Amino acid sequence: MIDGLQSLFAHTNPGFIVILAGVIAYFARQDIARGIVTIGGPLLGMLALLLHSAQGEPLATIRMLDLTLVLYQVERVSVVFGFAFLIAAAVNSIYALHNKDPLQDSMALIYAGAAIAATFAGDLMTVFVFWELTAVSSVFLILKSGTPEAYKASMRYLGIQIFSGVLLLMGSAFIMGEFGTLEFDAFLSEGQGLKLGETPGAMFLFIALGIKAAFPLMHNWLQDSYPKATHTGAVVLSAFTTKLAVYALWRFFPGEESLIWIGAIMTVFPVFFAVIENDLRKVLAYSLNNQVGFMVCAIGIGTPLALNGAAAHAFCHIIYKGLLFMSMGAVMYRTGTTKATELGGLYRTMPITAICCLIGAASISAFPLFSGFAAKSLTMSAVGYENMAIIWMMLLFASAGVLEHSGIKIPYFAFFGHDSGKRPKEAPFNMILAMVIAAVFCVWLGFPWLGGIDFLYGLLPYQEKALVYLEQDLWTTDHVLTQMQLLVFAALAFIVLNRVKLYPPEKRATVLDTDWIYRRPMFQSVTWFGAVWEKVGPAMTGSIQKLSRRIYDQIEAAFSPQGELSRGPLSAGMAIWTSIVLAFVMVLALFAGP
Amino acid sequence: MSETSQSEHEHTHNGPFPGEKIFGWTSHPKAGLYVFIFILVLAAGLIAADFVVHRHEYIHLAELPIFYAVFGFVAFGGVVLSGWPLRKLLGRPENYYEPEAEETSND
Repeated sequence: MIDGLQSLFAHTNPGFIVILAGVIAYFARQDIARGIVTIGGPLLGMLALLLHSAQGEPLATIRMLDLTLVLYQVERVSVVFGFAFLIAAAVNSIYALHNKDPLQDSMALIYAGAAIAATFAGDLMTVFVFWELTAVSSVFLILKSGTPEAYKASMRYLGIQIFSGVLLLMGSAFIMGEFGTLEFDAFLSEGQGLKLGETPGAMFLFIALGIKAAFPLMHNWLQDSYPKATHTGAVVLSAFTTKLAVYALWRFFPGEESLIWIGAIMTVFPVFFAVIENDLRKVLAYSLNNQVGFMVCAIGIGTPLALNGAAAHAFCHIIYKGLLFMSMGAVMYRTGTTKATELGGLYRTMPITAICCLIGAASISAFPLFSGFAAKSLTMSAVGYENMAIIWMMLLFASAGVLEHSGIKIPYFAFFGHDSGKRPKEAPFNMILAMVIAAVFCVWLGFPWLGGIDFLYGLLPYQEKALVYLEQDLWTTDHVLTQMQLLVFAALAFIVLNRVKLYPPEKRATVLDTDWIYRRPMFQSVTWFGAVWEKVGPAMTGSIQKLSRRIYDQIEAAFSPQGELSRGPLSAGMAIWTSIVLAFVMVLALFAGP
Repeated sequence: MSETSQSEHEHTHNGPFPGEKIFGWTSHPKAGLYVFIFILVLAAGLIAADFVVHRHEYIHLAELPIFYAVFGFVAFGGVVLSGWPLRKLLGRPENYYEPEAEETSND
């Protein structure tokens, strides 16, 4: 019996367990039972991961539509991301225990489970399925805010995420055409990914991942949607989508040089938006962009040290970013807002939340003794070793910027600064427990002699390199000194500018970003075109009909059952998945209401 | 659907509050000055250490004395000061996208 169970766990993708827990959670109407399921699911997932029987080979496969789907395959790097996802899922479940909302609990777990399942998938079709599942499940976390703005943002979010999935599917079709299979083992080898110029499929995959990772100019779905999610939903959202994209970039494009610049730009530009943003959850969304930039840059460098850096950074980031979102979620829950102009002085009645926020802030700022230092140092050193001076300076600049928006602005304007007069209660016990667990992780993973850094570095894909770095470089006097110089003098600049009244005061405002393009000029153009068409359309009916007939014939030649694009197994799969996604979106739209 | 517990939990009494034991000093009129002095002393110590500790740098520019201190101060200051023109350039009224809507986000 026990052997049978052990064997079952050893061959079950931990994501499936979490998804199943999510489905059960929806039907568990008693709060205690739902709490047990939502926390137990990720814990069982961890057990399954610990029991996995082998690495680098398929552990569970099925044959479908002439394709071999590798449902479970463990690699060293997937263990790092998978563990972090499972920890985040468990902590998030504790954080959301006060929610009396089975749908939100369920969707949060299905979303987490889908991200975990994709992390342990061994072929592109399986990744695609769970990729889309993350999109359609996570949208509920925004919708459930119940405001008209959240509804509109969730529809924009869903459209962009589904589009990313479609690009992934197109990329998969090209890969299928070239390699005859979608299994990773056929087209990826250790440390070697796809080359952008060599196959069009790689380009489609790259753009699909770029959207999910929120590359510059593709980033604004993140700042548009996350701050409009529920107070628990934003915490869940912060952990999975972008990091799943980072994981996929790690697998598919290690050493892709364009990622170095893309990542470096990602670290820098959000810093400027964050400084003028009033909504502290939106500040955290920009900060998320900035942090993912470090990981993307490291993947682009592609050396073992840099790839270790990307994985370690993702692991720590999932936890400390979650902690910061949790602290702002607690503020939101108790005061109804996260706008800096309406907050301040909350330390009086929310001291534990304030302490947890400060620990998260110290971690993301990479203060020595906190997790960010142990993680980010790998990337900074890797850039230094490659002698990339400009990139290194950009990352150093971004490090000072992180201190500004996440290290100082978030805790200062929420808990200190001017007294808003608000005296809310401390966060509920379950929220505090979740924040304390995350805070303990932040310290454990950063403080020497506690074993956390050894654990993290021991988990990394290039373990030996990581352990050598830990022994020879991480805690050298000059490394700690230079990091402290950077941060202390940045903090000094904050105090000086504040004292001489040069720090821009927070103001209620909307800050324009790239979403302006499709929310203003594009929207207005479409509206204008519609109005014009209404007037001139009837007069042009004859010629339009002829043109339509021609276009229809072309489309039929390509897409009909006898058409060019309908040959081969993938098209059948594509049709089925497109139908499923379409059906899901329609149900969702029905559910969401007007 | 309201996502907050504001109405049921918000208190308006006047303390003493639990957080004042740990952070109460931050509301002292001279707290800002004390923190400024503390950071100044710390900064001075770090500058002094820069001339004692031998640094191994891979980027040549970083070999300059007190490079990280100057870089941190200037970068942070530059980011903050850029906020003034950037807000003028990119800032719009809060209801810019939804002029008819009452309030954004959940508040």
